[in-house]
This record gives sequence, structure tokens and C-alpha cells, in this order.
Amino acid sequence: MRVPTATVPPATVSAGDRQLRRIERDTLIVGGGLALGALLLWPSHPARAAGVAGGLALMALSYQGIRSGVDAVWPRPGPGVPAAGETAAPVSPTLRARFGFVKFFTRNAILALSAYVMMARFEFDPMAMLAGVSTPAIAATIEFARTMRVGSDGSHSRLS
Amino acid sequence: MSTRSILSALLMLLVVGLVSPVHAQDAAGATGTALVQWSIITAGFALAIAALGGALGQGRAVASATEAIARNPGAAGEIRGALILGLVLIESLVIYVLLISLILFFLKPFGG
Repeated sequence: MRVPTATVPPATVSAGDRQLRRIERDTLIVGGGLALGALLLWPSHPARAAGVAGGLALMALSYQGIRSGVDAVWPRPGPGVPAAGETAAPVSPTLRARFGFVKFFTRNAILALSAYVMMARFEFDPMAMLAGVSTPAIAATIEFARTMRVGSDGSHSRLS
Repeated sequence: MSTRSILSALLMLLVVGLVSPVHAQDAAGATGTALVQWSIITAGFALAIAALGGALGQGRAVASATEAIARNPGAAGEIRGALILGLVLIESLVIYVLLISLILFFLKPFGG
């Protein structure tokens, strides 16, 4: 008899979610590496490392807002949530979904305010902030290269 | 491009062209002041164009994802992932422009 565990059921983690998690991890690694590199290269200018971290934080805010909005519209399949394609009873909007919508629609205001505070008040380095904002694009490029490499090896794609 | 769009673009150029001489009539330091004014006007237009392009792109992405999920509900997980990634990358371009506009607004790299 199989003992039920508290782990996430396989149905809740799709290939798209796995890909997103790899990109999240790569973004953190690239951003952390850039911030550490800035700190090591310019130890007398901590505003540069802080700028990279600030840009990363801006992208994290944006990502969380977008993700919670998408999750509010299309909930991830899991326990208690009908899988895609199944007929589901109408569910009233939960507090999480409402909060997700609020985050989705107010994310640009939050981003603008945060960027203003970082740049004009905390005086983070603006070029470093741009580098920090670039980290998701770098991570997506890494993921694309990884997918192409796995595909060209003749094995199955990691997306599937 | 429709005639209305061309006329709107020409009107905007005319307004931008009129704004600078009105506010830069002092002889002393006119060049620097005009440069600052132009940089601020450019930042505003850049932010507006980036917001417009980003909104259009995100709208198309969400519309396509909705249609794809409606056609093939079994692929909703993969489509969600691609949609989130696409929206984040579009948003990152808008944030680039936001940061550059904030640099022009508050740090004033051209003096002033």
C-alpha cells in the first residue's frame, strides 16, 4: 500500500512550470553573480551592486504581479482545482485570486514607485539597475540554448 | 498606416517643435536649457511609446493564449508558462524605458 505523502502531485507541475522554475533559478544565479561581481570589482561603490540587486527586485516584482494575475485567470491544476478540460462547478473568486488581480493591475504603479525610490532617493547606480533588469532575458537565453542543445543531441526536448 | 495616424504624428511633432522655443528664450544658457527640456520631452514620449507597444504586445499575447487554451485545454500548463515568460520579457522592455526615463527626469545627465 502506497503511503500518501505531502509532496506536490505530478499533475500540478507542467512542463511550462518546470521551464519557468529553471528560468527563475537561472535569473537568481545570474543576478547574484552580477551583484557579487560588481561588489568585488568596485568595493568602494556599493551602489553598483545595490543597483543590480534593485533591478533584480524590480523584475521580481513584475514577475510576481504577472504570475499572480495569470494564476487568478487560469488556476494551476491541483488538488481541489479541476484540471483543464474538465467541467467545473462555478467557484466564487477567492481572496487569493482577488489579491492576484490587485497585484496584476497595480504592478506598474508599484514598479514606477520602487524604481523612483531606488534611483532618486537611494541613489542606486542606474546602469547597474539596467543590468539587473536584463537578468531574466539572459536567463531566458540560457534556457533557450539549453533546450536547443538537448534537442540537437537527438534526445527528447526538455520542454516535453 | 491610416491618414488619421499620420496626421496625429505630424500634430505631435508640431507641438514638440513649438514647446522648445517657447521655454528656451533666455539667451544665457539657452543651449543647456533646451537640451534638458528636449531630454525630458523625449523621456515622456519614450515612456508613452513603450507603454503603448508593451500594452499592445501583452494584449496580443493574452488574446492568443486565451484562444489557444480554449482550443486545446489539455495544453493549458504549457501555454501558461509560455504566456508568463512572454509577458515578463515584454514587461522588461517597458522597465528598461522606465528606468531610462527616470534617469532623464531625475538624474539629468545633460545638466540642469
